[in-house]
Amino acid sequence: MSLFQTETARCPYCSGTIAFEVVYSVNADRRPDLREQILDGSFQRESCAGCGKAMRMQPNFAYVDAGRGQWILVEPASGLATWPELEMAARETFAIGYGEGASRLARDIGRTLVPRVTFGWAALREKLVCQAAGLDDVTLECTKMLMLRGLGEVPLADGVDLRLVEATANELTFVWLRSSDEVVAETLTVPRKLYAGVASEPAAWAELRGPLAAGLYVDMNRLLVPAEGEA
Amino acid sequence: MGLLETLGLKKRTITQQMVDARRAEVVAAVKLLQPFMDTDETTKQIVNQFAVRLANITRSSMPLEMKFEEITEIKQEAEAALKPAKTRNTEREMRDIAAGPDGLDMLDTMVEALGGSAKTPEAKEMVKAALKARFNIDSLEGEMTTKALPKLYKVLGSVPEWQVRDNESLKNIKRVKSGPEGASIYYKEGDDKTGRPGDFIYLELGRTGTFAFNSENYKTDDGTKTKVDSFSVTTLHEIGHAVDDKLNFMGGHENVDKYGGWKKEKREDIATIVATQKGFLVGWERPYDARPLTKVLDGVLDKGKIDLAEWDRMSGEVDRVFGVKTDEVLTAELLADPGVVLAETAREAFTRDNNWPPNLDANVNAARPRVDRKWGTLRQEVQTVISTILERKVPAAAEVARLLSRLRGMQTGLTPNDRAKLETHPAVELCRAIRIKGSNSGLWDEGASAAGKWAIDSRVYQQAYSTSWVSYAVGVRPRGISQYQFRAPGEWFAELYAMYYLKKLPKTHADAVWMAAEIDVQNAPARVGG
Repeated sequence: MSLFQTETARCPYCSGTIAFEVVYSVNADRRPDLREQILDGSFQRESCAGCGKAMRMQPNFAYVDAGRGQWILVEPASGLATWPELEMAARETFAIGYGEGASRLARDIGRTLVPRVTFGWAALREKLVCQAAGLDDVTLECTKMLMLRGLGEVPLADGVDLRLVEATANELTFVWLRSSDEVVAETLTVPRKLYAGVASEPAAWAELRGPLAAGLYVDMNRLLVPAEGEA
Repeated sequence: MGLLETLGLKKRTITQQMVDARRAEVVAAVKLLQPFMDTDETTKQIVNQFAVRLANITRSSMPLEMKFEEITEIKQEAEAALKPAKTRNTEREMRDIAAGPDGLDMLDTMVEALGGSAKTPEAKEMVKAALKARFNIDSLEGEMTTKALPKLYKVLGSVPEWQVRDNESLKNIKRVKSGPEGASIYYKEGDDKTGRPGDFIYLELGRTGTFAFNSENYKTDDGTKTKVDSFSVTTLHEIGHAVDDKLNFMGGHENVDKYGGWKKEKREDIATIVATQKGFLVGWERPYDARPLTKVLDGVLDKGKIDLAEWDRMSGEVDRVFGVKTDEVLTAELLADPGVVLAETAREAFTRDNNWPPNLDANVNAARPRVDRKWGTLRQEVQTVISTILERKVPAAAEVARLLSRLRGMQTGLTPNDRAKLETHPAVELCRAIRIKGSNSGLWDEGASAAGKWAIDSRVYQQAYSTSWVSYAVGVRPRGISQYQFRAPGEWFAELYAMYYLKKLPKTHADAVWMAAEIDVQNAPARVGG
């Protein structure tokens, strides 16, 4: 099951009260519809009864899909600057649930899960698309860096991310978007061969793969976004 | 300046002296651009344009106010031109360095010398220019933090150069820029002149230490509250589901009080139980058939409201088809129906020969279309008789009698008084009370008193999810550890699992005892039911 709690928020437009069924846990094995909603972008959206304005709650929940081997601590995009602490929190939470103190069965299940932490809806969605397409997320992040390096144009900025949004047999589609509200600046359709080229040369990418895969936060931003208070 | 001028209500008087002073300010601003003119064609052109415009204004006979305004405009443009001129100059310098011997190494050294932080605007400009020169970047949009720029430089430097060079896939990337809304993503908050892009906004609820789960969800029926860490408890809860699924624990222990006595139910069965136990089949002005009455309750369980449309329609239809015929006449007609005759003949033959085919589909499918069309919309009802005769081996006479009785029951529509009694009938109230409210609230939220109030024969029946109905033994409520655990069998197990592994469940608690013995064991337990 997935856990929800009714919370109220104030509408920034009309100051009316909006009741949100805020999600605190998504279990995609039991609620595949919620995974679908995350993928189609309809999850956690509501309209203000007063003024009709549509709103979306920033994500802050644990996502589990044992069938697909995914466990993700999903944080709001605004938490990015504190990624080292949140990564640690995710590690601890995962350890409580699936680590040494857990039941034998939970430990067995935990061994089949890849734990991750993400920031914002687009980053979570990307992990789902990535898994569904059979892509390795570390290699995907390396592919993004190859794109940054080779495109001649870098729309990268604080709060602006490059995210995979679709994957077919031959192409990968990425967007440059603002992570806080997912407004898209540009769409890039990339031959899947670009990813394959990176995947086939792990040794050449070792210098980037190492730090990228060093924790639960597997994202290009791990290498680019300074941690809060970083000297 | 007077009060009116200050408030912008009175125009200032512009003097020649003021115009000259503004002109001198333009000259000063242009002087700052001059160092870049030799190397930057753009700056050279801009400065020349300023000079021509300034000369034209000076020579013209336009009023002083207008001259002042236009010279002010040039001053602003000259000041604004300085930053891009400096940027272009820095970029040119970086390109020159890059093009020289060991140039790339020199750029790397320069950026490295910043110690990972471009603290001043000049340092930021330098790193941006170095990025462009070093990695052949034409455009580097948007603001980046002090430390992010040197990090980006380092990351791009770690990308294997040979994977970039002559990479056909990189050349085949298709790029489509979004419209003005997309372009606005590089504005800082508040700079966006068009307001928030898109037609919806994003909200964020701060998750604090007092987050509702801590005190609300882990409240027992007697009001005891247990504080738990929200992420830990939700994670363990979901693991509980996975463990339950893997062991088929709740599925394999249906209707066992030790494990809550949980059972999956069919909605129609609950309607029947409620109709029988809550006196819904008796006490009416006229005797009605149980089926339409039960169907009314099933409708309330399904939609939350009383819907008599089907009953009314059937009542009219039975009236029309049956007319004034007696039961004897109707029985004879039904038994003589070609479809019924075919089915009954087959049944008799199979019974006589004691040779029932394993699959009766062919016989049923042959008989059903033969049912007379004179039965109108009741034809479907007669067709069900055929299925029963063959599949349940029931003699035609018995099944026809049953059908007739049922249809006679439906022939009698509800009287106005009985219709009025429906709304407040305890059975209808119960059906409404046990339905889910919205998608995530229901009877399970309402504590032991509500559970006890609506229980039937010591069992609580309720809708757990949109298409899922369950029941549990009301006797297990006193040992509950949260309200949510009484939603469904899976939730009951998952909540207990979470509290057990958070060590919030006393070892002597009835559910902790079997959890310790059957779940928290060294070797993985076997799947219940094999």
